[in-house]
Amino acid sequence: MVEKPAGWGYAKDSAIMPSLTVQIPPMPPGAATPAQPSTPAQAAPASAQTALPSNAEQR
Amino acid sequence: MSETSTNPHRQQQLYWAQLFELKVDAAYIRCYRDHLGRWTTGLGTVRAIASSGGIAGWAVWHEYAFAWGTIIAASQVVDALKDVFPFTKKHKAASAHTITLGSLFIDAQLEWENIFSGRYTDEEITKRCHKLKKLQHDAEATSFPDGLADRKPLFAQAQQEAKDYFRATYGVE
Repeated sequence: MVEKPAGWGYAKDSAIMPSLTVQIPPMPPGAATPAQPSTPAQAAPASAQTALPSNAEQR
Repeated sequence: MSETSTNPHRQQQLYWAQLFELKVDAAYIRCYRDHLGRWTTGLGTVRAIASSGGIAGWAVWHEYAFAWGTIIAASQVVDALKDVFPFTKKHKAASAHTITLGSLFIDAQLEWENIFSGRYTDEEITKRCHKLKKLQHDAEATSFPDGLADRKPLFAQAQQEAKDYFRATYGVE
Protein backbone atom coordinates (compact mmCIF):
# COMPACT_ATOMS: atom_id res chain seq x y z
CA MET A 1 0.00 0.00 0.00
CA VAL A 2 1.22 3.44 -0.84
CA GLU A 3 0.38 6.16 1.62
CA LYS A 4 -0.50 9.43 0.03
CA PRO A 5 2.18 12.07 0.48
CA ALA A 6 1.46 14.57 3.20
CA GLY A 7 0.28 17.92 1.98
CA TRP A 8 -1.33 16.64 -1.16
CA GLY A 9 -4.68 15.14 -1.75
CA TYR A 10 -8.34 15.44 -1.35
CA ALA A 11 -8.95 13.93 2.06
CA LYS A 12 -6.65 16.28 3.90
CA ASP A 13 -8.34 19.34 2.45
CA SER A 14 -11.82 17.94 2.27
CA ALA A 15 -14.66 18.75 4.56
CA ILE A 16 -15.50 15.07 4.50
CA MET A 17 -12.57 13.60 6.32
CA PRO A 18 -10.15 16.32 7.29
CA SER A 19 -8.33 14.26 9.88
CA LEU A 20 -8.32 10.89 8.14
CA THR A 21 -5.78 9.68 5.62
CA VAL A 22 -6.69 7.43 2.74
CA GLN A 23 -4.31 4.58 2.00
CA ILE A 24 -3.97 4.61 -1.78
CA PRO A 25 -3.21 1.29 -3.47
CA PRO A 26 -0.58 1.37 -6.21
CA MET A 27 -1.72 1.98 -9.74
CA PRO A 28 -2.24 -1.22 -11.70
CA PRO A 29 0.75 -2.15 -13.87
CA GLY A 30 0.67 -1.83 -17.62
CA ALA A 31 -0.48 1.75 -17.95
CA ALA A 32 0.38 3.23 -21.32
CA THR A 33 2.46 6.38 -21.37
CA PRO A 34 0.21 9.43 -21.76
CA ALA A 35 -0.22 10.75 -25.28
CA GLN A 36 2.24 13.39 -26.40
CA PRO A 37 0.86 16.86 -26.96
CA SER A 38 0.76 17.83 -30.59
CA THR A 39 2.63 21.09 -31.17
CA PRO A 40 1.93 23.24 -34.25
CA ALA A 41 5.33 22.37 -35.70
CA GLN A 42 4.70 18.65 -35.20
CA ALA A 43 1.16 18.84 -36.46
CA ALA A 44 2.05 20.49 -39.70
CA PRO A 45 3.17 18.08 -42.40
CA ALA A 46 6.79 18.34 -43.46
CA SER A 47 5.75 19.22 -46.99
CA ALA A 48 3.84 22.24 -45.74
CA GLN A 49 6.94 23.61 -44.04
CA THR A 50 9.10 23.29 -47.09
CA ALA A 51 6.43 24.51 -49.51
CA LEU A 52 6.97 28.14 -48.43
CA PRO A 53 7.84 30.22 -50.27
CA SER A 54 6.46 28.67 -53.39
CA ASN A 55 8.36 28.37 -56.62
CA ALA A 56 5.99 30.87 -58.19
CA GLU A 57 6.90 33.56 -55.64
CA GLN A 58 10.61 32.94 -56.08
CA ARG A 59 10.30 33.58 -59.77
CA MET B 1 16.18 15.47 -11.75
CA SER B 2 13.22 15.09 -9.47
CA GLU B 3 10.85 12.18 -9.58
CA THR B 4 8.15 14.55 -10.79
CA SER B 5 9.97 15.31 -14.02
CA THR B 6 11.21 11.77 -14.63
CA ASN B 7 8.06 9.81 -13.86
CA PRO B 8 5.99 9.64 -17.05
CA HIS B 9 3.01 8.23 -15.15
CA ARG B 10 2.79 10.91 -12.48
CA GLN B 11 -0.46 12.47 -13.71
CA GLN B 12 -2.00 9.03 -14.15
CA GLN B 13 -1.03 8.18 -10.57
CA LEU B 14 -2.59 11.38 -9.29
CA TYR B 15 -5.82 10.59 -11.12
CA TRP B 16 -5.69 7.04 -9.79
CA ALA B 17 -5.36 8.36 -6.23
CA GLN B 18 -8.32 10.64 -6.80
CA LEU B 19 -10.35 7.78 -8.21
CA PHE B 20 -9.65 5.68 -5.13
CA GLU B 21 -10.50 8.52 -2.78
CA LEU B 22 -13.73 9.08 -4.63
CA LYS B 23 -14.60 5.43 -4.09
CA VAL B 24 -13.80 5.74 -0.38
CA ASP B 25 -15.94 8.87 -0.16
CA ALA B 26 -18.80 7.19 -2.00
CA ALA B 27 -18.61 4.18 0.33
CA TYR B 28 -18.33 6.44 3.37
CA ILE B 29 -21.37 8.49 2.55
CA ARG B 30 -23.36 5.32 1.90
CA CYS B 31 -22.34 3.93 5.31
CA TYR B 32 -23.17 7.29 6.88
CA ARG B 33 -26.55 7.32 5.16
CA ASP B 34 -27.33 3.85 6.51
CA HIS B 35 -26.16 4.90 9.97
CA LEU B 36 -28.44 7.93 9.92
CA GLY B 37 -31.24 5.83 8.48
CA ARG B 38 -31.21 3.57 11.52
CA TRP B 39 -31.44 6.58 13.83
CA THR B 40 -34.18 8.15 11.74
CA THR B 41 -36.21 4.95 11.80
CA GLY B 42 -35.72 4.44 15.54
CA LEU B 43 -36.61 7.98 16.50
CA GLY B 44 -39.54 8.02 14.11
CA THR B 45 -40.83 4.83 15.70
CA VAL B 46 -40.65 6.35 19.19
CA ARG B 47 -42.51 9.43 18.04
CA ALA B 48 -45.13 7.41 16.20
CA ILE B 49 -45.80 5.18 19.19
CA ALA B 50 -45.99 8.13 21.54
CA SER B 51 -48.23 10.20 19.32
CA SER B 52 -50.67 7.51 18.26
CA GLY B 53 -50.85 5.08 21.13
CA GLY B 54 -49.16 6.65 24.10
CA ILE B 55 -52.08 8.40 25.67
CA ALA B 56 -54.53 5.60 24.84
CA GLY B 57 -52.15 2.94 26.15
CA TRP B 58 -51.61 4.84 29.31
CA ALA B 59 -55.36 5.10 29.83
CA VAL B 60 -56.01 1.40 29.17
CA TRP B 61 -53.02 -0.29 30.81
CA HIS B 62 -52.54 1.59 34.01
CA GLU B 63 -50.04 -0.95 35.29
CA TYR B 64 -47.64 0.11 32.53
CA ALA B 65 -48.08 3.80 33.19
CA PHE B 66 -44.36 4.24 33.85
CA ALA B 67 -43.45 2.65 30.50
CA TRP B 68 -45.91 4.78 28.58
CA GLY B 69 -44.83 7.87 30.43
CA THR B 70 -41.25 7.12 29.50
CA ILE B 71 -42.16 6.73 25.83
CA ILE B 72 -44.04 10.01 25.81
CA ALA B 73 -41.22 11.79 27.60
CA ALA B 74 -38.69 10.33 25.14
CA SER B 75 -40.83 11.52 22.27
CA GLN B 76 -40.87 15.03 23.67
CA VAL B 77 -37.10 14.95 24.06
CA VAL B 78 -36.78 13.81 20.44
CA ASP B 79 -39.00 16.65 19.31
CA ALA B 80 -37.02 19.13 21.35
CA LEU B 81 -33.71 17.95 19.91
CA LYS B 82 -34.74 17.61 16.29
CA ASP B 83 -33.27 21.00 15.46
CA VAL B 84 -30.07 20.22 17.33
CA PHE B 85 -29.64 16.76 15.78
CA PRO B 86 -31.42 16.95 12.44
CA PHE B 87 -31.15 13.26 11.63
CA THR B 88 -33.89 13.34 9.03
CA LYS B 89 -32.43 16.32 7.23
CA LYS B 90 -28.95 14.84 7.23
CA HIS B 91 -30.30 11.48 6.14
CA LYS B 92 -31.92 13.08 3.11
CA ALA B 93 -28.74 14.96 2.30
CA ALA B 94 -26.66 11.80 2.66
CA SER B 95 -29.06 9.89 0.41
CA ALA B 96 -28.78 12.51 -2.32
CA HIS B 97 -25.01 12.69 -1.93
CA THR B 98 -24.70 8.91 -2.17
CA ILE B 99 -26.40 8.95 -5.55
CA THR B 100 -24.27 11.86 -6.76
CA LEU B 101 -20.97 10.26 -5.77
CA GLY B 102 -22.01 6.89 -7.15
CA SER B 103 -22.78 8.43 -10.51
CA LEU B 104 -19.58 10.47 -10.44
CA PHE B 105 -17.54 7.36 -9.73
CA ILE B 106 -19.04 5.55 -12.71
CA ASP B 107 -18.06 8.45 -14.98
CA ALA B 108 -14.59 8.63 -13.42
CA GLN B 109 -14.06 4.93 -14.03
CA LEU B 110 -14.80 5.43 -17.71
CA GLU B 111 -12.38 8.33 -17.80
CA TRP B 112 -9.75 6.26 -16.00
CA GLU B 113 -9.83 3.62 -18.74
CA ASN B 114 -8.96 6.29 -21.30
CA ILE B 115 -6.22 7.63 -19.05
CA PHE B 116 -4.81 4.18 -18.40
CA SER B 117 -4.68 3.40 -22.11
CA GLY B 118 -2.69 6.57 -22.80
CA ARG B 119 -5.30 8.39 -24.85
CA TYR B 120 -4.89 11.64 -22.96
CA THR B 121 -1.91 13.90 -22.59
CA ASP B 122 -0.58 14.88 -19.18
CA GLU B 123 -2.24 18.25 -19.50
CA GLU B 124 -5.60 16.68 -20.27
CA ILE B 125 -5.26 14.30 -17.33
CA THR B 126 -4.46 17.24 -15.05
CA LYS B 127 -7.55 19.07 -16.21
CA ARG B 128 -9.76 16.02 -15.80
CA CYS B 129 -8.37 15.33 -12.34
CA HIS B 130 -9.05 18.92 -11.39
CA LYS B 131 -12.58 18.71 -12.72
CA LEU B 132 -13.19 15.50 -10.78
CA LYS B 133 -12.01 17.09 -7.54
CA LYS B 134 -14.14 20.15 -8.20
CA LEU B 135 -17.27 18.10 -8.87
CA GLN B 136 -16.62 16.11 -5.71
CA HIS B 137 -16.12 19.24 -3.65
CA ASP B 138 -19.13 21.06 -5.09
CA ALA B 139 -21.40 18.07 -4.56
CA GLU B 140 -20.37 17.86 -0.94
CA ALA B 141 -20.73 21.60 -0.43
CA THR B 142 -24.25 21.41 -1.84
CA SER B 143 -25.35 18.44 0.25
CA PHE B 144 -23.49 19.36 3.44
CA PRO B 145 -22.84 23.10 3.54
CA ASP B 146 -22.15 22.88 7.28
CA GLY B 147 -19.63 20.08 6.87
CA LEU B 148 -19.81 16.34 7.13
CA ALA B 149 -18.95 14.43 10.29
CA ASP B 150 -15.96 12.11 10.15
CA ARG B 151 -16.74 8.91 11.95
CA LYS B 152 -13.71 6.69 12.15
CA PRO B 153 -15.51 3.31 12.28
CA LEU B 154 -17.53 4.23 9.18
CA PHE B 155 -14.40 5.52 7.48
CA ALA B 156 -12.54 2.29 8.21
CA GLN B 157 -15.45 0.31 6.80
CA ALA B 158 -15.58 2.54 3.71
CA GLN B 159 -11.86 2.20 3.09
CA GLN B 160 -12.07 -1.57 3.37
CA GLU B 161 -14.97 -1.66 0.91
CA ALA B 162 -13.00 0.48 -1.53
CA LYS B 163 -9.96 -1.78 -1.20
CA ASP B 164 -12.07 -4.86 -1.83
CA TYR B 165 -13.67 -3.24 -4.85
CA PHE B 166 -10.36 -2.15 -6.36
CA ARG B 167 -8.82 -5.54 -5.70
CA ALA B 168 -11.70 -7.28 -7.47
CA THR B 169 -11.93 -4.78 -10.32
CA TYR B 170 -8.33 -3.73 -10.97
CA GLY B 171 -6.37 -6.49 -9.26
CA VAL B 172 -4.45 -4.19 -6.94
CA GLU B 173 -3.68 -4.70 -3.27
